[in-house]
Amino acid sequence: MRWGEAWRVIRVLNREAVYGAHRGSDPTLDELKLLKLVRWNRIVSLVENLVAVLLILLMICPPVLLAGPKSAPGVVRDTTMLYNMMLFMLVFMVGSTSTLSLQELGFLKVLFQLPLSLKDFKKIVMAYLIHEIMPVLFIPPIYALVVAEKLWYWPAFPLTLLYGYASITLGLAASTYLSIALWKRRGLVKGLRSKLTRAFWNGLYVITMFSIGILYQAYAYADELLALIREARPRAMALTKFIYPFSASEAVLPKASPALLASSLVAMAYSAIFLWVLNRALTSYTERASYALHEPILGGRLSEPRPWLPWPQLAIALKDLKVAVREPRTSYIMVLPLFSIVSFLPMVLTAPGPGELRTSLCLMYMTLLILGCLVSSLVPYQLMEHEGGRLWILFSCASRKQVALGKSLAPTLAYMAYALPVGMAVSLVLGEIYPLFYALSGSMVAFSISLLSSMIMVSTTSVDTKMIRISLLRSLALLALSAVMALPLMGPLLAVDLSSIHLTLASECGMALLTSGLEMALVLALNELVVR
Amino acid sequence: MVEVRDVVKRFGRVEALRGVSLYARPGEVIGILGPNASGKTTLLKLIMGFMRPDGGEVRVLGKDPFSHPGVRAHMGYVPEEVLLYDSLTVREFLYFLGRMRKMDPNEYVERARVLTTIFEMEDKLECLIGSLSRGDRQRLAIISALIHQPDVLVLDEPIMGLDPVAARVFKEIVHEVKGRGGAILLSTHVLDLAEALCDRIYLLHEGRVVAEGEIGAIMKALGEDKSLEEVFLELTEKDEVLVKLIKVLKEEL
Repeated sequence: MRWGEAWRVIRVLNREAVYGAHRGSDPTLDELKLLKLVRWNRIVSLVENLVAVLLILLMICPPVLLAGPKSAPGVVRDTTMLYNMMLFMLVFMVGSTSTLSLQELGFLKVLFQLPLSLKDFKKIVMAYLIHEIMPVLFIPPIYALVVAEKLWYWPAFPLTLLYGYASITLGLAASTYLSIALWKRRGLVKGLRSKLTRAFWNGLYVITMFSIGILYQAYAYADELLALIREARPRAMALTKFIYPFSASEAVLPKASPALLASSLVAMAYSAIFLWVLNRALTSYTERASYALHEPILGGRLSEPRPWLPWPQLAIALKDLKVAVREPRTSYIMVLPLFSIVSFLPMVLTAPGPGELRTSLCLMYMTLLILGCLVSSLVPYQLMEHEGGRLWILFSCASRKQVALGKSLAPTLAYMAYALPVGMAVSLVLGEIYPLFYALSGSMVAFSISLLSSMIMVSTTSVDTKMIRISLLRSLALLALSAVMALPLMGPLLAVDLSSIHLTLASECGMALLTSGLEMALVLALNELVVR
Repeated sequence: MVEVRDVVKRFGRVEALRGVSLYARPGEVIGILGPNASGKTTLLKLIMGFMRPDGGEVRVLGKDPFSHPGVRAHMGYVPEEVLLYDSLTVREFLYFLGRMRKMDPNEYVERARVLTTIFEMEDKLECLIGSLSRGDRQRLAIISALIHQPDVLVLDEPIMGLDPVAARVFKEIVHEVKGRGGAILLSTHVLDLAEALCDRIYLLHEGRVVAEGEIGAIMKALGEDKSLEEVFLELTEKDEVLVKLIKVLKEEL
């Protein structure tokens, strides 16, 4: 199979995805309209990709461009490190989700009947991954050009480029391996050991999905760490030239010819190793993950069901949470806000006095609550994405308004699972009760937002909808709507002097509870009246 | 129990159903036959209330199932394409359905026990659905339609992928539902199954009912020496097409 043919297969798969997203919900869908939708989808995805590339370039290029001649090498060293780690993380995140889509949507299974070799399948998987990470591929040449021009050192261009693509290759390999591991371990449902193994892999996935936030923190300490190593073991610093990703940032700096040759050889060696790892990962993925079924576990008995659930909405939520624990790729956004704590921890831990501690704790807590509310609008979409093709189960047992309500309960329960304990901890530290009121208020707002989002989604899907996708425009609109609905939490923070934030929060908590309660009642009534 | 009157359903420019009417009384098994794209699946989805008809009306147990989705509490459904939650075990899925149907836990555990025994799935309760064979998934879909003892069963190609034993069990279950006064609407391409189970059939062709009534009466009207397959081909205007196709097949291959 030629790459052109693999590319054509990917275009068919994309068309299939667009069809799956609109099938059933759009009664006027015909071939002409489908072609228009495919074209529109391509334009939207191009715009989204361009925005993504621009955002990444804005993070790494300005520090290099703005650096003076003296500080340039140091800045380039730092940003090149960030550039490589960011490329790795981004590709890892996108790659993990893409390999999941290939497995879950059964795209490859359709191709099994064709006389294709393992090599062909690998090529198709690779083409699919390249298609998904396409915008990222444009970053290395742009950044390499910026670095070479700034340092006025031409070898920096190929070396930055080579390391950039090596990081991308490593990201793809790691995401593919993680997909295989998750897929294999998803079959483990019996026994504590199995559950712990699965929890470990799932936890690893969730942490890595948000590692860009953690990365920024780690990056802030990277210089200090290097300085410590330099001080304690000056000789060890020489080794960093050979250890990825440090080798990447060392390689681009101007140096004498023998050192340049060594750096080039190291870069090529890493590229070759990462390519080999990716090749192995793709072989393993294509051989096993896409074909394999989990070993059936025979036996078992119909024990008494533990919780008795009086409402089908709760059954949907429980099922969603169970699937989320077993397959975190279906709903990792749910725990995203927790990672905001990582950014505030240094500020909280290094607070010079009780006043500052109070302020930083309030900021950390309110950020967590508000962020949780904002993402609550996107979680139902992620949960519903997993329902694609299975909506007949929900719709044949429950009404649309029940499904909408059910789909909003899992995000709310997840929200409460972190908002209440963190609220309790903050309450204990501050010696005040109002953080708990905000946890309750936040839970109501999160519920209202996710219910509104579910209502919109359920109204635009049908039993035939195969794939539920959220466009960038819709997600932005939902986020804007969520921001408005999160006013009970954001209100007390607006136009407030940071040093008196805890006083304002304490005095406004009653109002926050009242307005969020009213909001919730209004959205519940809307669900009752509007959803048919 | 089920009444469909002059139902029209359009998808863009395509008219999937053009004034279809049918009814099913308690204790009746109704066969919905027809070639591919004749509108069978659309008709069943309208009966389930998954979509609103563009014309005419659908009544199940006296109610419009689209406006009154609560009526689905008394209905069981097996779709043509069975997709289930792969990351749940068989037991978890059945309990989920019991909860969704607001059943008493003791009742759904007992029903799950009986049905998994009947369909020989009692040793697969801890299996992830993703690890099941196609036949097992089909059995599970049938169990899911029966767990709440529905009054109306809507089955779209229910025996697809079933082995002879499971197919036989399925037939017995249809007789059981019929015996207790339930109505069964069954869409199938397996004419033998329709002949064995159905009290009356509706033959759809290009979104219209081209024949309806008892199988015996339809065959009698078209000539008693004909089989149901021949009647089917004649009424759906496929007999001449088939002759041509066989001719091409013999000449070209």
